[in-house]
Amino acid sequence: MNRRFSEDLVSGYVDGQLTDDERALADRLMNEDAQFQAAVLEAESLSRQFRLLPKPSAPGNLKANVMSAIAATTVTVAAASTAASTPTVKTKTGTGGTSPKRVEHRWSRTSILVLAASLVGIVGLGSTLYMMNRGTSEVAMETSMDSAKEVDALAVTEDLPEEAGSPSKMASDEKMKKSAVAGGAESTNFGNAKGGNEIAQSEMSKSGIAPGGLAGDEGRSIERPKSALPITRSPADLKSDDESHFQQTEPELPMQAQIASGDAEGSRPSANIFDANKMETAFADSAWNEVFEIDNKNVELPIEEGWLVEIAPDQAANPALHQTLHAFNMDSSVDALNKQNSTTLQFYLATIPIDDLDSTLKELSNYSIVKPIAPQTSRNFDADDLESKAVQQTRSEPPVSNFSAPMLNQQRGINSDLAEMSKSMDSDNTKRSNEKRNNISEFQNIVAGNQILIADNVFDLGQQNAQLSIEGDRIELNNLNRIENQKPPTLSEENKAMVLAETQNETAIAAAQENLFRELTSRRSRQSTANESKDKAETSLRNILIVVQNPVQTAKPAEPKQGK
Amino acid sequence: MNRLGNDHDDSFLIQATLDGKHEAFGHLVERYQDRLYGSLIHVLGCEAEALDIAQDAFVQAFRRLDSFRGQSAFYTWLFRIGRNLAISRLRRRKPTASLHNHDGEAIDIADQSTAPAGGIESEETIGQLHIALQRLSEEHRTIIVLRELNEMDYDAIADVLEIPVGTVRSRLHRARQQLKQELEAIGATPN
Repeated sequence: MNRRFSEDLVSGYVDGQLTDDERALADRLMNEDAQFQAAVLEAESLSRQFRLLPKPSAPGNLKANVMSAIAATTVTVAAASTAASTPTVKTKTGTGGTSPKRVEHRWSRTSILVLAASLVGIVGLGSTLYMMNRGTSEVAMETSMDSAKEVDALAVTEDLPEEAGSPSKMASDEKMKKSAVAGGAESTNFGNAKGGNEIAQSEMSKSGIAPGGLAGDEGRSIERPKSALPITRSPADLKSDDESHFQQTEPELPMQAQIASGDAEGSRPSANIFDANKMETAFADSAWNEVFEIDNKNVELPIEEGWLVEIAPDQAANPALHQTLHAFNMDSSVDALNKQNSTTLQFYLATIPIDDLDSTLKELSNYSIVKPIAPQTSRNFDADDLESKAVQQTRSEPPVSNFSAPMLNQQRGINSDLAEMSKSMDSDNTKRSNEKRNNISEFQNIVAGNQILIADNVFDLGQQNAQLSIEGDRIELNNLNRIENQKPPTLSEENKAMVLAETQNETAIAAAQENLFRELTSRRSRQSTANESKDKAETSLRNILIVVQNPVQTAKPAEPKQGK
Repeated sequence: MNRLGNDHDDSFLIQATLDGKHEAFGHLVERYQDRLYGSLIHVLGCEAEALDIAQDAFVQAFRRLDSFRGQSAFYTWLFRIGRNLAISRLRRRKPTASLHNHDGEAIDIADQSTAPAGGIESEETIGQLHIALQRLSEEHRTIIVLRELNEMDYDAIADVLEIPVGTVRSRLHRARQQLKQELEAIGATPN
């Protein structure tokens, strides 16, 4: 029986975060649906356990360290300004904090000299304390070779908007304003050019100087780095399916996101692949100054802060694009596109896990860089989206899939453990997919009894629409190989042999089947062993408690007599 | 002006800080240091790094306080800063499945517990929870920490993680499912 509820309804119910309608549904399910009831109890139990977790207190010196660092920063700024021999010291209000409100004070020359001397002393002390608390070795490392790495943290944080918003909101608020002003000159403040300032800020903060000095956030523009060579391609190139010219015309950029052409063997369609590993390398090496301009759409990929993507106008209404944006939580971008008031999207590194980076960029490149793709071939939905879709489908329409674990059980007597893969409409597959983080559930030749479920590289959405056919002793899930066009086969040699053998060699099938059963048995055995260990531990504990509760008074052994 | 005290609300202390009274920010640090530090320990799995990041987060928050517009809770904003710093830190090191201190020794969180005493069983449960938590992805770990430890509502979590509320719900569900699996894998089962 398929579940009659979406599983995240359970979380919402346990956390008291449902709408009125959902709550009414949940209340009803609590009375009528044992499965829902069990899931709720389980979730509540888990939450209860978390209440046992300790709440560690911050070390006593945390506040002191923070305040020292702040003092060191602000005081040094004042000192630096004073040293600039200006009789007018622009400072933060009051005690010189980093307040946006600035007040000008008139200082006497004597006061300035005395203050300067005092401040230098305080700065030294403050900086020393700060450094000591951060760990000498780490600070030394960071201030020398690792400053670039520090930048990423700062940059991710620096312009962090207090509003949650969406990445695109962040983009439209500030970055785009800057882009518009910059206009592409050599001294342009690019979307990622701020990163240069971040480095400066980072370095300054290391030495106790506030970012931007007393000028605050002014003067952020920096020169465009020489390494920020654009990748320029003509629109005609972009329309071409043959992407080999990409490699021919790409300048040698040291930290460039690689755009790979398709499979050399030609067995798969070409696909632009932004190499996440290289991105990460670029990130780590602080080569964030590259501005990736791909054709005249001015696609910039400022690694440090996120990605700015300008969508081709003719793609703005592409439903597949909207779907993709939604999948990557860029709903406000979808709104903007719907309202046709923007074809520029921006999303931030912090919002896209690095593991998803290549797929995200690759997907977006389909609409803005390379070529449009038909909605039906859209893929790479993230797990959140899959989950939502599964929920929506569960609520609004009967399952698309025409197979289910119960059905398999009924028809073929398949062990329910092994048939779990067939529960396409609940979140089990999504969950597995999420664990792998590649949206692909790899169920390879799952064997159940004398049945063989052939399911190479099952892709969730494909699986939902898969057709089940039962022929003799074989159950084959068709339409599951769409990802073969995107991902190299991942079958092990053993499984390849098994696939090969399925039509030729019964012995090989039996062997593979045996292996899989062995694995399953081993897993069950481990679980059993774990349960036994737990039982033993509990028994031991009970015995100890019994002994403690009923201490046995034993006769004290006579002490050996000495001297005899 | 009234003497600054820890009894003032966040907005008052923030404004006082912006007016140049640094001790007001000190009160904010005092107010949220345990919560932030405690959360970061679970996110990072390392005391020393949590302390480091918490400190940096406060300093960053101070430096950027003028950009805080008060439309979300201060702690939400602060945690977001801390999380971004933590993400950056996590990227630089290989994932770790155990809690460790600065010297690389395993942390016995139970020793620091201020939780209700529950005897051996509780300590065992705590240990298992920690292990299971550290086996989750950062994404799942963080959302569990925000909900279960920080007791944030879904709106606040959405605010911190910059995701829709619907996604919070589904992600939280998956995180719990994964956590359950991890607990089962290490031989623990929810009571």
